[in-house]
Amino acid sequence: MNIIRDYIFPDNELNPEKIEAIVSEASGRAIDLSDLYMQYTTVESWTCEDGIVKSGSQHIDSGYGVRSISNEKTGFSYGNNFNFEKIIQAARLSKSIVDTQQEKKVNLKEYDDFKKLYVSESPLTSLSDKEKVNFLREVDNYIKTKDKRVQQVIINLSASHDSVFVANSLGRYCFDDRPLVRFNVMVILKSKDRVERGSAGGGGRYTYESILKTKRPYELADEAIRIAEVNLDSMPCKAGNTTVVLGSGWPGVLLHEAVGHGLEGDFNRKKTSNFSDQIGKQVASELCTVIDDGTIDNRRGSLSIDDEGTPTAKNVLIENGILKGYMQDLMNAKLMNVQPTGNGRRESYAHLPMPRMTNTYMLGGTSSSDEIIDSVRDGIYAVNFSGGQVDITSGQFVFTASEAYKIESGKVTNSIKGMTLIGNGPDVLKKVSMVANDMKLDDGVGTCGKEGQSVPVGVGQPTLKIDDITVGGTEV
Amino acid sequence: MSKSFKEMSSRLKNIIDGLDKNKEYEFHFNSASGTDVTSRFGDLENIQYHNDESLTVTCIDDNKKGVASTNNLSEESINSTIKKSESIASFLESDDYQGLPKENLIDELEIECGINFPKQFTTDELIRMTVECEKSALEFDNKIKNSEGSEYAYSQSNNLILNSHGAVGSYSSTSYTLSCVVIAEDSDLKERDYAYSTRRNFEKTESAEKIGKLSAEKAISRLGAKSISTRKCPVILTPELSVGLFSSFLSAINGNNIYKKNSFLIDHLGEKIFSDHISIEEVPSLNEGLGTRPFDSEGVKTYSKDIIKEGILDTYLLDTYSAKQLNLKSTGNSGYSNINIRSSKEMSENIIESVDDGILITEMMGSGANLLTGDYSRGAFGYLIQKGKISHPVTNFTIASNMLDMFKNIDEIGCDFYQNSKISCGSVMIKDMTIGGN
Repeated sequence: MNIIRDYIFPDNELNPEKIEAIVSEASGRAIDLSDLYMQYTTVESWTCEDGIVKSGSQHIDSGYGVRSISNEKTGFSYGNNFNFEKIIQAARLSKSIVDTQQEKKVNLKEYDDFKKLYVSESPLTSLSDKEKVNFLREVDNYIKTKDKRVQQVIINLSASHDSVFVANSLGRYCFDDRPLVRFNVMVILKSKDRVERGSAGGGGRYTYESILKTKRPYELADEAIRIAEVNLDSMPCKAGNTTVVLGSGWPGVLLHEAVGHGLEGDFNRKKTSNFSDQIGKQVASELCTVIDDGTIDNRRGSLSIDDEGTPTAKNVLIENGILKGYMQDLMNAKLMNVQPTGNGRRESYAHLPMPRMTNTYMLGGTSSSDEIIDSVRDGIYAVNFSGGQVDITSGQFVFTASEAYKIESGKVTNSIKGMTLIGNGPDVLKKVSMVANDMKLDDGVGTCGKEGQSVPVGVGQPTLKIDDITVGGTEV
Repeated sequence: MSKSFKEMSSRLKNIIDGLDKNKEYEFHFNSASGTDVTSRFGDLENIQYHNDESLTVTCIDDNKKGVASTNNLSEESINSTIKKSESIASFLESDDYQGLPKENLIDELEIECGINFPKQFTTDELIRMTVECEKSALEFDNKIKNSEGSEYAYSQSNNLILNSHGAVGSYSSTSYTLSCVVIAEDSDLKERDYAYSTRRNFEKTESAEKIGKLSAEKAISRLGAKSISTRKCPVILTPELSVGLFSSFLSAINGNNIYKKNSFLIDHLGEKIFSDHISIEEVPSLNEGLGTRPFDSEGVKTYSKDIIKEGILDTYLLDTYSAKQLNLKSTGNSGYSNINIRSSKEMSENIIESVDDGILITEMMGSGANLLTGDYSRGAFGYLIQKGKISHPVTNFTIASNMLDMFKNIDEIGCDFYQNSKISCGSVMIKDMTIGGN
């Protein structure tokens, strides 16, 4: 069910002819591209805390955005009222950035010939509200029976269903329905006078049953307890330069920050990225092949079509250390004279699309993870990160570990706390000296922020070794 | 306040008055409109026009709280949003601490609180302003070779709250921001930096020329940064970064983190957290204040209060729910307003002069402030200070400590107050932190 097609269109007497009129109004001789985006999103969230499922919420957000692009200029207007006359006015306003009164007739055809990577049903109605509440209670009970040191448990279940419609002056319109489920557990353990937190989560583009009717939530609960437990014994981290082994899966967030953002088309068109004008050059160790792939079934970062109606793709960004290409939306692809790559994404109808990542990961290598640990005399094994940030101009990035250990003479020993990694994206990638054959995608929890817009993404990588990187901590 | 907002306010008042008296209801209605203009290399790049409205309905039924929101304000949609909030509440479990505020409720509409200064500009005027701002950066020095442009953002918002215990309040506000982001290049080096000014009243924003020039100065000064060795030394945080540190403090004393035991400051009420010379107060009614508000997000009247008095924690920041959990009273702090951070020592314009050997931190990256344990570890960029003077830029290092230690080690606060935030604070000198370098 697509709410735009099935409800918004008939309720507002909209039809393909009227949509053509809107896109035509936003187009003109000097306009390179215009589009209309319509969206109806329903989001819900249920939280269990103190053993009580005490809060629930549902939010509905709907609206449209009209955009007109002329060379490097963009006019954009959005609103909530789907009335045809209001949308036409918004189209006129967007186009007013270039001084042309002439509209250009656009003919639209429905484009439906893309691969559907997820179901179109809404997760919100896939289970009854009572079932959701009962489920949260069960997980809460499970955790409290399992570990007596538990001081606080917060479990959250949330889902959204996003019905979108895109029509553009390239002559097509399409619909997409995007389910998204997210489950998260946070526990605080107390032992003697120390308290530590552990959290774990997972999700993807499917309905609730795909995760709730499996063992996954209980595995994630175990994982949250395990991380808190590890941190209860953690020692302060020594600051300085050292060898760091990154675990497989979620640590790929480092790749996302250190490399991914710098390979987004807008920064490279404006030449503000550290990777500008580097195509064909060696930007990483030859062990590194980095891919952005929006086409993986049911993944959090996947999209059947991007927010401009371009089907997503599996794009090779770096192959054996050589920079192959950037991620593009329609505008930046045209200005850079390359093909769009299906990376045009926006947080909502109220935001402008820009090149964004989908699922970004590094391919596996030939070493085993044991060999990698074995090879380190003195270093750090970082398994989980709580977040990171990058300055794409200088390439500087920063990450904070939520689970990390010392490596001493080839053995993983004590856990350490408060560890931060800092480095320069291209420098660090050149120092990747071993890559394992255990590539793993994350559990489906990533959200990426850029210029104030958040979108769900996926990350992944195999276990890998970085020879020399700066680590922050409280010990000197 | 626009006519349609007034009409909606009275419509919602009628609706809430007609609802089931056995349940509690709260309506929150917001509307905002505005314009964003970005220019790059002397030409318009983006124009965005906003117009948003949304209604959030909270229903508390038998100690169970359901929330639903919509941005479709048709009668049918408002009714179904109310029904949805009731339905969610019915599936939840009873929680004795749940309930809407009944005391100190706001009871005035269209409150004039000195933060609403609407001013109309033509699109051409806005383009001219952003172009001028960027131009002063590009012309400042030939090392400024690239730009992400200058942006002007204007927003006018209206905020209404109603609850079934009689809370009725609304006010309007404006906000103007002018910013500039440029990139300095020298041989292979590239550095980006920015400057901006945010005010309630357009007349008080910094001039376009000044913002452009500042962004250029900042970007250029970053070029040629060197690495630094691992050490312990005093650090100075710029006013902007000090604001960030104090906002972590304010999160740690937020009642919701306290009752959840998710804070390193639980059980610290009445205890010394900062040195004697430091005081922190909340002032909700500051004229033109970025945080000014007559009532909090639940419709409870705000009031001025000491948070830290001579280094001692005087109160947590409590909303109705967390107050009940902690057996205290709401402090009108579902959110906070303007916060002033002051020292009783002499507050100098330039506290760098008092440091013999240390680092001025101008940028921090990453999310390394752990609210539960107080552990603090973040990536940083800054300048080495030698004998009270800036020596050279330094990069690729981390700073680490525990926030409790950092708070106690704040030795000096400058009077170079930050004006782009609702938290007002100058530069801060922390006498001992760990620098992780090479």
